[in-house]
Amino acid sequence: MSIEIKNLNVHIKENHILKNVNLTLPEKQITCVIGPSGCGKSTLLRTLNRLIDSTEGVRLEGEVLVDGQDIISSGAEITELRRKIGLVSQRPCPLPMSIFDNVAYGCRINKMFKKRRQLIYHVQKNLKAVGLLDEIKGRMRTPAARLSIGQQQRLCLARSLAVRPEYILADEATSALDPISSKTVEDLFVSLKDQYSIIMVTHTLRQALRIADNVVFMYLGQVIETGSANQVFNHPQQELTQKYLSGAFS
Amino acid sequence: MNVARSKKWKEIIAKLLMWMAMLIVFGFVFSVIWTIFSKGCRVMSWDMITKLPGGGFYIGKEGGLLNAIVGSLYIVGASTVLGLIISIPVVFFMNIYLKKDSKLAYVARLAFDVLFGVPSIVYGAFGFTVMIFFGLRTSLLGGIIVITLLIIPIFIRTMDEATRNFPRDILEASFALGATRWETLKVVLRQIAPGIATATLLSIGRAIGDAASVMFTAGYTDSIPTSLSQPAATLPLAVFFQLSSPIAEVVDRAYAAALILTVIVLLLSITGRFITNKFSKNKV
Repeated sequence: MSIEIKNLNVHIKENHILKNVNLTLPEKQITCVIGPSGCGKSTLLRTLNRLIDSTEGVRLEGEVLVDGQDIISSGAEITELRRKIGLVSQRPCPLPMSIFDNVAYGCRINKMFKKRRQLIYHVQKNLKAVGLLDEIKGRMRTPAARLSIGQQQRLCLARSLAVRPEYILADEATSALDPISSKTVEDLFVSLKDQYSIIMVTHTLRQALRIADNVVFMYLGQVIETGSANQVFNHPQQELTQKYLSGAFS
Repeated sequence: MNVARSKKWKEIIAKLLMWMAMLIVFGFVFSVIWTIFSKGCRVMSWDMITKLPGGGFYIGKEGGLLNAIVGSLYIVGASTVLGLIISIPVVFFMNIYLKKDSKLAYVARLAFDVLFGVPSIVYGAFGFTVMIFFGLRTSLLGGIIVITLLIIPIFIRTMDEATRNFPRDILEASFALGATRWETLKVVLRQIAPGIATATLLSIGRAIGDAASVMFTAGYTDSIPTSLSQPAATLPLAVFFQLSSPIAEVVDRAYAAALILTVIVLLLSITGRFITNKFSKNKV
């Protein structure tokens, strides 16, 4: 169970966004993708669950092997891929339904349970996993939009976890949150890493320092350096990485 | 000091103007309702809403308006359902399947805007021409089809506005969980439900009050139609024909028809608002 990227090139219209990316993303660890804005971090993430397909004029080349299966080739089963790879985006986006239905939605469309009792238990379990259950007890039927932003983000995480993914993609998942919620979500990711492989795009180096097991540094669509957090942060091999880490550009 | 004083005066004048504008609008609404209620209530009776007209709608002084009430409800009910069935897929197609800067969507919106502005008598004339071409007579079906055509642009443009402001993130959130486009459409439907409710209300309001388009297509009759090929009476035409009658008692009866029409529209708006609020609950 791992993700292997081989010679991945992504073009959007005339722009060459990702250039010859080669990466192996280890399982059951947190991999942080860092780099200045516009370097292709989010594009990389959106390629992994093929959400990039909805972008106009996009062209993908190369191979992305998820559990040994190439997801770029036309025969790939996209809905199943997306179930397997959960996404937590930058801004929390609850669906226009109740808190309960938000978490149950994915289970329902993937026909995970036959009995309602099982579904209720599963929803509660996932809300508990993100620490929301006690906060919203008795309010399961209220609209999700009434939660605070931090709670909404955790709800989105619970929603992703509820469809039993193997990977979780997080696209600057804490950048829209206040410091306390941000810390809560960050701690959640750390606690989840022994069950899921987490790939996290982050803008804040400090966050990467705190939680990353592995780091991928990208610059202008290319992967400049990759390795364990210790190696990249303390002994960067490339000059660009050194400059970025020292704050020469951001 | 002077600046402060002139600012204060400007503020007072602006406030006064706004109050006056409000008063004009309220006064207008009130006088319309007052006229209809005061004149309508005088001739209103239980018979008016439960009986068919006696002695012909143009000169008869007996009976009620049941033919027009039922005819209007038939036409409005059927054309609203038909309108929704046709409009929702169009709105989805324009907003979700087509790309944002699609030329087709642009042309479609332009076309619907033009149709929106076409006077209803033109729809009536068009319907009439088509019916003559097919050798049809004035009928319930003709009325339903023309009213459906009349309200489709209203449906589409109102729902379209509601859907265009729709947060795109919801689509991605749904797709990211492994949903197909069809499953995602259902989520979209929940989000734009208030927009659909508003569009439906506007359309019903237009459909039930329109006289010109049904005059040539649905016709008018003293009885309740029992099949789609029979002509059907409508409330706006009941007002129109009775108001133009030479007999004073019949003219008075026109206000009863106007009263019934107004009450139906008022009831619809109130329930519509209630439903819209209920639907808006989950909106993000």
